Amino acid sequence: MDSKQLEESAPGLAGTMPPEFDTPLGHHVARAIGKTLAPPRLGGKLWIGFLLLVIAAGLAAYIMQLVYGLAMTGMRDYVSWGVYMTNFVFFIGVSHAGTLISAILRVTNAEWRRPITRMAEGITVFALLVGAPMVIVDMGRPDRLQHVLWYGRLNSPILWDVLSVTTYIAGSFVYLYVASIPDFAILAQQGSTGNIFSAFRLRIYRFFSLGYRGTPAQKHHLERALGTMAIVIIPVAVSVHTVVSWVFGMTLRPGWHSTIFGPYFVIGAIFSGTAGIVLAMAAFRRIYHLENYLTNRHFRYLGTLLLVFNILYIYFTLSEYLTTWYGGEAVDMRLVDMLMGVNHFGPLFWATIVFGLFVPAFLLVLPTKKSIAPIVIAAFLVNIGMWVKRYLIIIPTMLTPFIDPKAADASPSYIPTVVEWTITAAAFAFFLLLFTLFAKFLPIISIWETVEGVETLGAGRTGVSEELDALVGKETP
Amino acid sequence: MRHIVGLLSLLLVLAYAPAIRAADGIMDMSGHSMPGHSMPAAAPAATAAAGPVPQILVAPRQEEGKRMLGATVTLAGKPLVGAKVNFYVERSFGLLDIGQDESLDDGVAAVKFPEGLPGGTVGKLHIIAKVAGTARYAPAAGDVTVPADIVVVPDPDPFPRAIWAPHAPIPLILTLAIALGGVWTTYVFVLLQLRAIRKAGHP
Repeated sequence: MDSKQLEESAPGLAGTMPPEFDTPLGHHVARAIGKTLAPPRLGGKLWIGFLLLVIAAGLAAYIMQLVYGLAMTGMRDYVSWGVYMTNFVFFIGVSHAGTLISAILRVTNAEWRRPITRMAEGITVFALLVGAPMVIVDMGRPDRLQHVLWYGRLNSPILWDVLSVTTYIAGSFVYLYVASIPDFAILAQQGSTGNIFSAFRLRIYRFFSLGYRGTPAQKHHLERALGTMAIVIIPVAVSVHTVVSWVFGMTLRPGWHSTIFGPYFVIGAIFSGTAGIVLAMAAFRRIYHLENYLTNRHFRYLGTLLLVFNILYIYFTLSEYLTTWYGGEAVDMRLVDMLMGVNHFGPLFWATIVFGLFVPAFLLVLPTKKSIAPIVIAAFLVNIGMWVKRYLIIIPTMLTPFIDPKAADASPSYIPTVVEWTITAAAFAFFLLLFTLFAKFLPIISIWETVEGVETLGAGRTGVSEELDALVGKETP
Repeated sequence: MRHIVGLLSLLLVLAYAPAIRAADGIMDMSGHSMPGHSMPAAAPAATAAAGPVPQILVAPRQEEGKRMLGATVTLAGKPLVGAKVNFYVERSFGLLDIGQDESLDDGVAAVKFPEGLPGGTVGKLHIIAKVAGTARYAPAAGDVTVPADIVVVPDPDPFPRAIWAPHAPIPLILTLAIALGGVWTTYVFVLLQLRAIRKAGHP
């Protein structure tokens, strides 16, 4: 079944539209994109059930960790940050997708962003909701979490992290919401006339639509709010990952105490965030046959961005490790040996460099006019590589204290336990579940931005299928 | 609820009161100079009730031109000969052993005065002398607070840049306040725009 046949067979949003979007183009886009809101079929239900199972297993593992303590993990005196902190850094990194795609492209008037902003903003919010609590999971006494607020020291980068991540979560929610108001209005209107949503759901849509009808005054305030948020969220996002890097960088430990850690982490975050949005686009495009809206052009543009950040990340990685190795300090050399030597993390490190950085770069320079597969494979490799890279930033350094453990007849090691892997799997499952449910609640592609883009700039500049141009200017029958 | 918590606190205080009093007797943390006095030492149960408790008076003394710390041990008003006396100085995390001596005919045992030992910010050393119990007598202890040779001058800002410093530096507080204040003020501005959208939608 091709996309056109599916559009005809699926109900989508077939009710009336608000006056602003009551055009053949508006109806067409609402029908095509709105079908993502349909209740899940068997495959979807099985998917949600599977995710819930993994989450339940993770909860059970966490309860076990709470009862028996962190002894259930592989963390001990030398390694106090394990895969939980790896997940934290990874998810905060992925959360940069929304900022980059939506805010930066909005500020720079890159109109092709329109069909992908919603997904990007969703990734930001859900990655933060999953990533931030990872710090609590890493805590031995989460019941003392409130002490961070009561006895927190502003001198500590950990508290800066708490403040900046909280600010980023709040801003990301507001940004996602502001950009969704006209779509809430469309859904409220559709629900009022099409009888396609439950009364409760319709009430939610109405509440969040704020009575938006597209009047000039409302448009003015909406543009003002969106423009302001797009500008303010960029420095907030950059500061968040910089502060995350400072939690490491301001600690006097080999491999962490580096002046380039701030930009290194920010580049890494945007790199993995862009890869995340490519994967999300590929999944939704395939599941809902959204080829007319998530076109090869979007993938090509994002592939170019991914390549730019891929090269930048290779550059930063080389700069970081070459400087460390060339200095030849005894403790640094122990770290380099642990990280790159064949006996320790070497195989993992070199595999990450090859398959997480160089192979994606090679795939991204391939001509991709006809197929998006190389870009999607590259994005997949990048995401795996960036998770492992965060692991390699954290663990080897923790195993390399200034006083050589051999001097104390100690041989520290860290092997994550089943409990840690189960909780990690649950975190990823929770992220995917949030995204799946989100796609059932709000159109995964912004209807209003897409319609507005095609009407004012044309399908070509908006990046969607040029077939949509034929609908512009036609009267509603 | 408040009454229950109050009652529980009172019970706890009453339960611990004897232990607190005993600890106060052994270790006076006030740092004020006070006359030497004698007290029963906390001793192993096996010898605690073995016999009468000796009296120990601790005081600085001069012997052949040397500064010493002496402990005069008496039992029933008479000098106790041959008692092994251990001398300690109280420090932050326990007792520092400064020597041992056996009491002579006059009941006096003495060790060298711990010169060069800092006496904290108050410049005092709390000296404790202990006698272990035997079959003839019970264990006992005496103490005295004497001026130390070295007075520690407190550092007005011991951890100027440490995470555990009592106060964050003003420039850091200002930077964070301005940055966070600016961002959250912008959020409020955006929320005001949303309010305006709502108002325009419900004239």
